[in-house]
Amino acid sequence: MSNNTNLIKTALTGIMATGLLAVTSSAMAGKPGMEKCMGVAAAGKNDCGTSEHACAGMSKTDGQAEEWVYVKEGTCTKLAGGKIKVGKAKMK
Amino acid sequence: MDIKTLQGDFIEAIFGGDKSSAVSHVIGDDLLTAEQRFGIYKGSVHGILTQALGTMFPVCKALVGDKFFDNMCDLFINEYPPKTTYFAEYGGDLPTFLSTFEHVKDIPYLADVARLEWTRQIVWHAKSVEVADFSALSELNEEQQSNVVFQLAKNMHLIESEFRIDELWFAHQPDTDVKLEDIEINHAVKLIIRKDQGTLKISMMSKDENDRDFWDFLHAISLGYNLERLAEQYGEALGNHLSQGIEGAWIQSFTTE
Amino acid sequence: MKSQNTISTKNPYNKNKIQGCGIGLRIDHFDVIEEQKPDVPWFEALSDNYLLEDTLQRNYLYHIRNDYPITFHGVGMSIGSTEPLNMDYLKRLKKLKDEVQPAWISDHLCWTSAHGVVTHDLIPLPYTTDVAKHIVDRILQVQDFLGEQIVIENVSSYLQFKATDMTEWDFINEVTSHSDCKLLLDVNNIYVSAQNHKFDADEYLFAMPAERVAEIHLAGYEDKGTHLLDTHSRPVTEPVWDLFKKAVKHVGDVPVLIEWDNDIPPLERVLEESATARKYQQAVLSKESPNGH
Repeated sequence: MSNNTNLIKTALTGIMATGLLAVTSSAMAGKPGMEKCMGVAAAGKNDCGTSEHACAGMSKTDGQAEEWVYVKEGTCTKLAGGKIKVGKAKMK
Repeated sequence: MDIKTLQGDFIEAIFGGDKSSAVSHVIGDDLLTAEQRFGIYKGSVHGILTQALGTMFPVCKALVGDKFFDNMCDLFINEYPPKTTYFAEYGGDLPTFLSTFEHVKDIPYLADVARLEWTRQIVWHAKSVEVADFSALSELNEEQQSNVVFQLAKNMHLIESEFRIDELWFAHQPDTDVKLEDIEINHAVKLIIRKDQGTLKISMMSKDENDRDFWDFLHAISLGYNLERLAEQYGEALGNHLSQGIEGAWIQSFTTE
Repeated sequence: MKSQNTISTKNPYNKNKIQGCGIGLRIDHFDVIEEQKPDVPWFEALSDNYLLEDTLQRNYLYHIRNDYPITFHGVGMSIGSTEPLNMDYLKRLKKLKDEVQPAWISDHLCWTSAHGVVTHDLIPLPYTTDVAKHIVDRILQVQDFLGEQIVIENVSSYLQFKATDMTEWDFINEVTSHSDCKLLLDVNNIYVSAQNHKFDADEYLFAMPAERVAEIHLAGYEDKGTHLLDTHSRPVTEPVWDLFKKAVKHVGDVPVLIEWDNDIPPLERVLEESATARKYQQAVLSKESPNGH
């Protein structure tokens, strides 16, 4: 009997022994303290942000790619110093 | 005139392909040329889809700003036209698109934020599944046991990132106390996204080594590792991890392939 | 709008009677509808928003269904497409129909998807006898599958095809009569298209098969200078109200619905619009039939 087989046997015996077989609900969360919950965002009526279908038209300028200027004017400019170690992500 | 060809020409042109065939089907007049009339539809389709993507990826949109987001969506929409009738299913390719999009190379966390937003959507729409009867595991022979593959609960997904995307996400929520200025973005995180009784939680594993090890264990399960391989990797810790996984309802079912 | 905010006293045995002037059901208004139970004769739900199961939206629709009559209005049937009918879509629609039991199901006389790609927009068709035949065939299939007559709406358009060899109104008559479906007469769409293509809105309107009209739609467009864009983002305009009065004269006492999909205002504002529609409608009806209804 290999070492792995033993480990598996022990692990499965452990499951049986702890009487876990009656677990039927996924509402049971993990051990308290295990997760640092950053906060809970209740999903609203719009279901986590799915767009509504509509039978209305919209307008958007049919621009040419080369004329577009990609200037970021959003909140990313507020990040501390806005400096990202780009190299690090690429090394991954 | 073949209407099938006409519709194909329109699809081609609306999603960034050659316009000449589509335009050739259209009547122009002194008010608007045929190309301009066709352009109203192209603009409308792109407008509708951009709005849908903005609703799906509000944090990404806020990070880069409306104008950038709009322009970026045009390219995304051309590259990944919707194949689905339901808005809730459109946009899953945005993280992939962003990971190679040259104009966001200076904000490499954007693709991961998109992945986080999309994952919230997936988890939200996951159907709840009955938890399996794990006692059946003891009835398997040794060979079957080592081939057992577990499945994680459908209401839960794991994400890891080189960047502090959890705080970045929370900083954009109403009533948040996370300030963008305070975020140390270059900080790797292992996250759990979980739907629990009508709410969606984004949690980060604590710094405790066991907990982070447990996250890796769940991640290995999500990659389809069988018991044999899990035993090899986790050794003595296998028993604890497995009990914890089933007890916490992280692991939902198993198959014996 | 005091009267609009009183507690509903609708007859529970008459839940699916569609009459008067309803409004389009929008997610933005779910909370206020649930809390205040405003006096709205009926809501039209955009069926495509509720086709995924186990969603919050779908649950809210079940709730609202308990208090109000409902009609379904869709954009995804793509009845004018040349690709096969989307059976997954139709199966979901049928299941939702069985659960919610709308008074009827409507969609548009146009195409939204083709060659495996979904535009999510309403794109017009060339109006020819062959295309009419193709659509009649598909409507018959859909009606057969759903087990009921469907209602088809005329769309706004911003272009015309060279291949077109009949008027839009002849095309509508051809399609509705041969498929024996009902018509959702969008008065705003007639006006928008008439302005965009320089035809006579009255001629179009009075050519409509009055006996087939199940419902009238009203909405507000945006004037883009070179064309009118049907954005459903504004109040109904004066010329559309005028055309609406003529429509009521033509089709009689038919349920009317206000659509507001972009820049959606508070519910009271949409209800004001439906109250105005009701006022104009009743004025025309009482003139047409002095003995009252």
